[in-house]
Amino acid sequence: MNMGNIVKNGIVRENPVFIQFLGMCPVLAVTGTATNGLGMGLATTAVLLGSNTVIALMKNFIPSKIRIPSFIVVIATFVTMIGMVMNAYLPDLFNALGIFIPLIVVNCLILGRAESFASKKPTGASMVDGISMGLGFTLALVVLGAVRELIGSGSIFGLELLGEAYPAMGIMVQPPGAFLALGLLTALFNVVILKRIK
Amino acid sequence: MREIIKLGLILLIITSVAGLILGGVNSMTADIIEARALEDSMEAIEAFFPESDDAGIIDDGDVLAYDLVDEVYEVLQGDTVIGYTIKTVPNGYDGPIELLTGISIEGEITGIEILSQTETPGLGDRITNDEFKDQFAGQSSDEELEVDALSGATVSKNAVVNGVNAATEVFEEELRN
Repeated sequence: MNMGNIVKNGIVRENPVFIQFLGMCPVLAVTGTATNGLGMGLATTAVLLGSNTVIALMKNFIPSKIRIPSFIVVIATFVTMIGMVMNAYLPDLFNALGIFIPLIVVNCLILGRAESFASKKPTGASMVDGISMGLGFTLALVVLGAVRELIGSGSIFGLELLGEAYPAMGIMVQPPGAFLALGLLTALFNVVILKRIK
Repeated sequence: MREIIKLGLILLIITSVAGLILGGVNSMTADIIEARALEDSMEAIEAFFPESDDAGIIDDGDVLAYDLVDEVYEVLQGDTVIGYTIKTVPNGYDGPIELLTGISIEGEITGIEILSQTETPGLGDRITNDEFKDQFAGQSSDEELEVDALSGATVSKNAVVNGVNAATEVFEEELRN
């Protein structure tokens, strides 16, 4: 398996959100704005890179009977570290993402990559897989956040684009809008991108 | 039996290393986090009382025993106390809201500031808009608050009002001379 394929799998062919539907809690909950989507995506990418690397390094040390608790401890450690660092240096983002930072621990995408990739493959490939899956996740969150923010508040990344006259559709930045946008974007992703790849 | 002990030991090693690393990161970031929180509070106090020179935390069990009250600052001009700033943490629609209420020694609310909140974007988070916050300034701490409704954000608005009421209650009962 070459590195290019791993990257392509992570970002497009096995995109964590649009194809695998993993980690739906943060996907639906924090994508009210593009900025939050980007922050959550990058935080998840950092955790994925860290946990994939450490788990790949430790795979011969961890007996398979206790692999799940071991993975969870590794993942939780990275999440807590990133939470503390973010709180110290990026307090605005930390406030916006609030409860969802600790919830990265139970994002099934991260445990999923540990179990299906990092615990079986070499360290280098696992690092690339962590970054690729993380970027695929980030891409999906940013697109989702941007679409919802544009329709729901007339701005992208906090920049007013549509002006005062635009009647903001508040529903798009609320929970129902997350489902609407995710469904429509998934359909679009399937039609436009997957067809081209096959 | 031997295997259980071996598995337990391996888990012990993993969790101990994780604990050590976390302890290290915590000791590096805890001070910064605390300093930043204090800085935010001080900035707000400066805005409530432009003429203030200094502010200090009051560490008084009676005052802090009040519902929702988290921190109380005494605001000084020279050596005279010119007012108080009270941090309250009411529950909003989607989690706790941290807010500061400035009250002058004469019993006038000098302003409120939302330090952190996780209300619904576009609805509840309008409590952080200046138009909303500014209506508290100038009201008296011993009268009922008059605050315009926020359509679609009643819970968030009420939470802020509860927080400000908790602050005025402490002020009236404990701090006002």
